[in-house]
This record gives sequence, structure tokens and C-alpha cells, in this order.
Amino acid sequence: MKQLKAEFLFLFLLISCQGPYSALGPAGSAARTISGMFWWLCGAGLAIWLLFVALELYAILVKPGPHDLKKTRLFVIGGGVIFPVIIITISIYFSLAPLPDLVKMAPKGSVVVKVSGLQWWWRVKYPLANDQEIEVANEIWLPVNEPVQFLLSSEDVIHSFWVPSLAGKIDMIPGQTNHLSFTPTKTGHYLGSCAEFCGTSHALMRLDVKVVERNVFDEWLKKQERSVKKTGSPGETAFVSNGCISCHTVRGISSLGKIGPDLTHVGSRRRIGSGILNNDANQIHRWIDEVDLIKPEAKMPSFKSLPIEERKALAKWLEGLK
Amino acid sequence: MKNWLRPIILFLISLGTLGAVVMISGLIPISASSGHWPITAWILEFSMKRSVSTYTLTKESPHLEDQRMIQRGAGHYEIGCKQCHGGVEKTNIIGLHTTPKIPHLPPVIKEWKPEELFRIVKHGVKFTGMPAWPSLQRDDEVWSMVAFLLQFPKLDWKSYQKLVHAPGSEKIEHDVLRSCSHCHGLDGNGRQTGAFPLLSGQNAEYLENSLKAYAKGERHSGTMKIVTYNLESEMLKELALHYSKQKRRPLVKQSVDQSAIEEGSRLAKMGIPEQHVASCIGCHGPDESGLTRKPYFPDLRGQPADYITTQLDLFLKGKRGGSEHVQLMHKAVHTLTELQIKNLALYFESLEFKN
Ligand code: HEC
Ligand code: HEC
Ligand code: HEC
Ligand code: HEC
Ligand SMILES: [Cu+2]
Repeated sequence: MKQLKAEFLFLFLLISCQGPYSALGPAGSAARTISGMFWWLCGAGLAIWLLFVALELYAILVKPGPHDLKKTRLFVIGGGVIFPVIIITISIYFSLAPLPDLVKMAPKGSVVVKVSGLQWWWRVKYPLANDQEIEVANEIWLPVNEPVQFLLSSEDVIHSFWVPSLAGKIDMIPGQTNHLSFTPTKTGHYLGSCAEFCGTSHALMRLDVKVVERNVFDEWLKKQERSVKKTGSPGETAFVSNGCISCHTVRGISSLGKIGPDLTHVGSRRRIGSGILNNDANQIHRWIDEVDLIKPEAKMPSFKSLPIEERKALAKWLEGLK
Repeated sequence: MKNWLRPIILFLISLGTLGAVVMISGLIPISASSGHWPITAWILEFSMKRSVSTYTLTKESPHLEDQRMIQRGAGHYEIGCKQCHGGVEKTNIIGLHTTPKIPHLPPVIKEWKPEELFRIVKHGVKFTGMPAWPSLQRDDEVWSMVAFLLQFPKLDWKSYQKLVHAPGSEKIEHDVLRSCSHCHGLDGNGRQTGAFPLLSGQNAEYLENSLKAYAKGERHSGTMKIVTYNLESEMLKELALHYSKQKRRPLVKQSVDQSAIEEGSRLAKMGIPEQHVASCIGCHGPDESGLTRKPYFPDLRGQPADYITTQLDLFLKGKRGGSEHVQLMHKAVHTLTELQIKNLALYFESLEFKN
């Protein structure tokens, strides 16, 4: 692909589209297919465009005046009907050919990740060998160079799962499980977002994906599996006594809450609010105070009515849940 | 200008001038003692009846024989209507000397359909002093009043007294507490019918917040507004404290629908994730693990199912209002169905309140 890119000088601008959120910097098998297709189509498009300009120049500069009717008719039918049919057939073939690969199931024993979209965050579950599941939210970790099987669904309206550097987007539809499988090929940190308008805060529904070495992944998963130890700290007490537990689970404290993100290890995430705020005590405090301003219509109420010491204690405690 | 137009215009101008002179001179009596001219009285009454009839064309009345509704309506009548309309036997003395005269209700109730009474009680009557309902956000309270008015003609003095006063409430010396006790009882255990929320043993902070919200009109209830509106916040605090310290007496239950209670229990614990309904006990308790909740959350144990249902209906319609904490509730329950509400209400009613 590299050499091909160099040929298209005008595309240099697009190279700045590299980064954690770019379809042109593929880091997964599926994304590579897609970006490969993109470059081939660009190349073919450019070639046809050049040919067309050359013919125009020929007609204007080299041989103006009337042309032989028979030859031109051949040209119109050949270039206007037959050629496009061939080109389009070829490109349809090449764009459909990778599809079976994208939706086929990853081999047995691969890492499985269940992701469901909710207004406006991501519930992520890792099934374990013992029929248990580890629930996390808004952040997905994957081992590099291993096929991964995504099972995608939605708990309310239609969302779309899209991590451009790793794979193409796939809709998440209520009552249906869509499959997506690919192999991430480069370690690093990638960004995703919801790609189907799903309500007021659709634009604030982002996702962090980390691709890491196998041992780092295992360590991470083991850590996520752990429960929180009760300490009776002010933050922990405030979390229970103010009813945060009615929506949020913190394993070890309370598992009543199901309708908000699991917060057992919220402190370990890169960002909070599904990828929109830095994860530190200040920002968590802000979130508790004014969710309604940060994320319009989010399904969490603001807790500004709590005494300031309690909000501080909550933020500090949550930040510490690594 | 056309010739025939001139005299008409001249006539109208003189008529207007004459009217202005009479009005400014102050010769017309506005005194209530003289009453309306028959023609004015007729026009006012006729247009009032027509208006009430027209505005109720499409309104339908709910079931109005519920004893709890009648009790609530009667309680409100005693504190909010009696001063004008009087008791069982005759209108109050002021009603004889106003223009128009304030009608004694028992004899006239049968002239109106229930939905017409609803219209009059909810919106009042212009130019007469008949006031509108103190909170226009909800209809259930007004229907309770209508339910009472329909029974009113059948009552004698004794049965009226029994209906509006909790036993013993007359003897209470504290003026304000006495008035609350008519409905809530001195010990906050209501009338044992489930017509009123139980206040006994409830968290003082929640009670105080609620009383302040009623007084400010932020929690909508005509009944509770007229009893709290004039009270100082110190007094509201004192009342809240009084009721929070009372011992709870459980409601006498007629029947128990065990399967509804079990379903309600499941919903209250786990919430309803597919409808984004949070776990009720996460905020309200009771929690077997012994973790306590803040006293700004109401303790729902043993509260009458009828009352819980009404409150949840109001929450869903966005008409509940409440303290500054009430928005927590809105986000947590906005998608409940009628059946789920019924089951939840029966579950919380069935829980034993431990004093
Ligand atoms: C009514 C349910 C509800 C209650 C009660 C609730 N939350 Fe939330 N919370 C949510 C939902 C839903 C989200 C996800 C919002 C989004 O990103 O759109 C959320 C998100 C969060 C997040 C960000 C999580 C992440 O991974 O990005 C934090 C932190 C949080 N809540 C803390 C709290 C605290 C602290 C309390 C109690 C003071 C609380 N919540 C009470 C529903 C609730
Ligand atoms: C300030 C005095 C006042 C208060 C308080 C008052 N009313 Fe009235 N009410 C009136 C007057 C005056 C009329 C007569 C209206 C008319 O003539 O059209 C009236 C008329 C009515 C009527 C219509 C009767 C009829 O046949 O004309 C009903 C029903 C009624 N009131 C119910 C109530 C109820 C229930 C309450 C308490 C919530 C209440 N009123 C409180 C003054 C009052
Ligand atoms: C006429 C009957 C009546 C009287 C008198 C009355 N109440 Fe009430 N009270 C009610 C009704 C009905 C409700 C339910 C209102 C609602 O739906 O919001 C209520 C609700 C309340 C509540 C809220 C309970 C809860 O669980 O949210 C409090 C607190 C309360 N009353 C206290 C008082 C006090 C204090 C007084 C005296 C100043 C008083 N009430 C007088 C009928 C009455
Ligand atoms: C996030 C916390 C939270 C959750 C979850 C919650 N509530 Fe509430 N609820 C409240 C608060 C706070 C109030 C008091 C509002 C006020 O101060 O006016 C309340 C009030 C109520 C009331 C009115 C009580 C009264 O005496 O008037 C009822 C009934 C109620 N809740 C039922 C429920 C049910 C049923 C559920 C579960 C489906 C539930 N709540 C879930 C916070 C919550
Ligand atoms: Cu979206």
C-alpha cells in the first residue's frame, strides 16, 4: 500500500488522518481490507479520471472538428456503457468478497466480547470459562494478533459500533445480535464512536479500545474480575446511602444496579462518561454535579443537591477504584 | 358622510358620555347588600350554567364511590370550603350577605352532573368569589372532592363529623396539629383506610422537605397547600419532627394478592433494566444487608398502595413535584407500566414497618 500512496501526490493531505481514530491507519485485519479497498478504488478512480482528461484534451487541442460518426458511436457505447459495467462489476466483486470474512465467526476459543449500546454508553461483557461474565463499560481491551469475536446488540435504540482503525461499522439493533470478527494487528490505543444517530447525546457516545500483548491483557482481565473491598470510607458510604447503587454495580459493595455502567473499576478507565472526560477526581466531581449539562438528557440525574464534602468523597473514592 | 349615519353616530357618542358621567359620579351602588338586579343575576347565572355545560361536554367522570376519595374530599371540605358554604344544615353566615349569595350545597348538588361539579370546583366561578382549586396540576384531588359532594346531601351532622374528623382529633390543643390530625390522626397513622399517607415514623428530613415543597407549591396538592401555605418554616420543622417520632400502627388490610406482591418485590429489588427502571430499594431501602440510606429518601414500607399508586402516576405524568431531590426519582421510574405500578405499590404496602 505504501508505494501506491506515494504515487497520489494529492492524497498527501490525507496522511494527517493517521492516528487512533482513522480508517486509513489500519491496525486490524478487517480495517486493513477496508483501507486496501479504499486505496484500490482511489487508484482506479484516478486512472479513469486521467484517461478522461486526456481524451478531452485530445478532442479539444489535438483533433478539433467533426469526428467519424461510426467511431464515435463505438466510443460512446464502449466508454459509456460497457466499460462502466465492467468496472462496477469488478468493484462490487472486490467489495463483497471480504464480507464473509468480516461476519464469519472467529475460531472457537477466541476472545469473545459482548458489547451493547445504550443511550449513551457501551456495556461490555467478557464471558469467562466458568460461565461467568465480567462486566465493564466504555473501554475494551484486546490481545494483539489473536482473532476476536464481537457480539453486538442494543438495549434501546439502534446504535452503530465503529472503531475505524480496527474494523468497519456494524449496526447494533435491539433484539438482534450482530457478529463481527477480526484480528487486531498492532498494539496501541484506538478510538471508536457510535455511528448511527441515537438521540440527543449521540455525538458524546465514544469508546476506548486498547490492543495489548497477551500477558498484559490477561493481567487486565484478572484485575477487572476482582471485587472491591469494603472499607467504610466516606465515599463508599455516600455511594450507598445516596442511592448510586440503584443504577450502578460496584462488585463487593452492591450488585443491585443494572441500568448504569458497572463502576467496580471505573478508576482504571482512560476516560469517563463514555470517552468524553478525563478520568480524575475533578472531572468525576464535575460529572456528579452536572451530568445534565455535560451530557444532555443522559439517564443519570445530577447530584448537586448533595453536600459538597460528600460529592468530593464520592469522586475521590471512585477515582481510587483502579 | 351618508346622511342617515350622522344621527346614529351622534347618539352613540352621547350614550358613551352619559355612561362615563354616571360611572365617574359614583352614583351606581356596588354594595353587596343590595344584591344584583334580577336581569343581571339571570344573565350571570345563565351564562355560568351554559359555560359549565359546554366545557364539560367531553369530560367523563371516574368511579366516585371509593370511600378513600370521599374521606379525602370531606377532609378538604372541612378546611377549605366550609368557611363559605357552611356545614350539613345551612350555609355559613357570610354566605347570606354576599352578592351573589353563597349557596348551601346539599340541596343544589343534584342539579349538577359530576363532571360539571368537577369543572366548578377545579376552575371556580368568575365574579362570584367561588375560588379555583389551589393546584391546577392534578385532577385526582378534585375528583375526590366531587365524590364527597355527591355524598354530601345524604349526610346528617353526626355522620359528617365522623367523616371529617379522626377520632379524638377534636381534643388536641395544639391548633395546627389539631387541623392536621383531622386527616392524618395525631399519631400520623391516618384514618386506617389508606386514604392518607402514613406519616408516623417517616424520616423527619423527608417530611420537612415535603411540607416546604407543598407550601411553596413545588409539590402539587391543593389539600396540602391550604394547610401549609401560611405556616412558618420553624412550625413545619416541628410538625415533621412530631410525626417522625410517632409509632407506626400497620394498616388493616382487606385482602392480600400474594403473586402481585412477589412480582413487585422482584421489580423493587432488581429494577427493570429493559425499561431503564432503577432498583427502588437501591434508593428507598429496605436493604437486607443493613446498609442505611439518607433520610431525604422516603421510607415506603407499609405506605397504602393507593397512595403509592397515585404518587407514581403523578411522577410519570411529570406532575409530582417535590423537594430538591425529586429529580432523582424522575430519571429512575419514567417508563413504568400500570401493572408494574400496581405490583410495586402492593409490595411496599405489604412490608412491615419496624419502629
Ligand atoms: C438513575 C440511575 C443512576 C443513578 C441513581 C446514578 N447514576 Fe451514574 N450513571 C448512570 C448512567 C445511565 C450513566 C451513563 C451515562 C452516559 O454516559 O450516558 C452513568 C454514568 C456514571 C459515571 C461515568 C461512568 C463511566 O464509566 O463513564 C460515573 C462516575 C457515575 N455515573 C457516578 C455516579 C454516582 C457517584 C452516583 C450517585 C451519587 C450515580 N452515578 C448515580 C445512571 C445513574
Ligand atoms: C370564598 C368563598 C367560597 C369558598 C371558599 C368556596 N366557595 Fe364554592 N361558591 C362560592 C360562591 C360565591 C358560589 C356561587 C357561584 C354562583 O353563584 O355562580 C359558589 C358555588 C359553588 C358551587 C356551585 C353551586 C351552585 O349550584 O351554584 C359548588 C359546587 C361549590 N361552590 C363548591 C365549592 C367547594 C367544593 C369548595 C371548596 C374547595 C368551595 N366551593 C369553596 C364561594 C365559595
Ligand atoms: C384534608 C386532609 C389533610 C389535612 C388537614 C392535612 N393533610 Fe397532609 N396530606 C393529605 C393528603 C391527601 C396527602 C397526600 C397529598 C399528595 O398526594 O401529595 C397529604 C400528604 C402529607 C405529607 C406528605 C407525605 C408523604 O409521604 O409524602 C405530609 C408530610 C403531610 N401531609 C403533613 C401534614 C401536616 C403537617 C398537616 C397539618 C399542617 C397536614 N398534613 C394536614 C391530607 C391532609
Ligand atoms: C435514584 C434514587 C431513587 C430511585 C432509584 C427510586 N426513587 Fe422513589 N424517590 C426518590 C426520592 C429522592 C424521593 C423523594 C422526592 C421528594 O423529596 O419529593 C422519592 C419518592 C418516591 C415516592 C413518593 C413517596 C411519598 O411518600 O410521597 C414513591 C411512591 C417512590 N419514590 C417510589 C419508587 C419506586 C416504586 C421506585 C422503583 C421503581 C423508586 N421510587 C426508585 C428517589 C428514588
Ligand atoms: Cu449514536
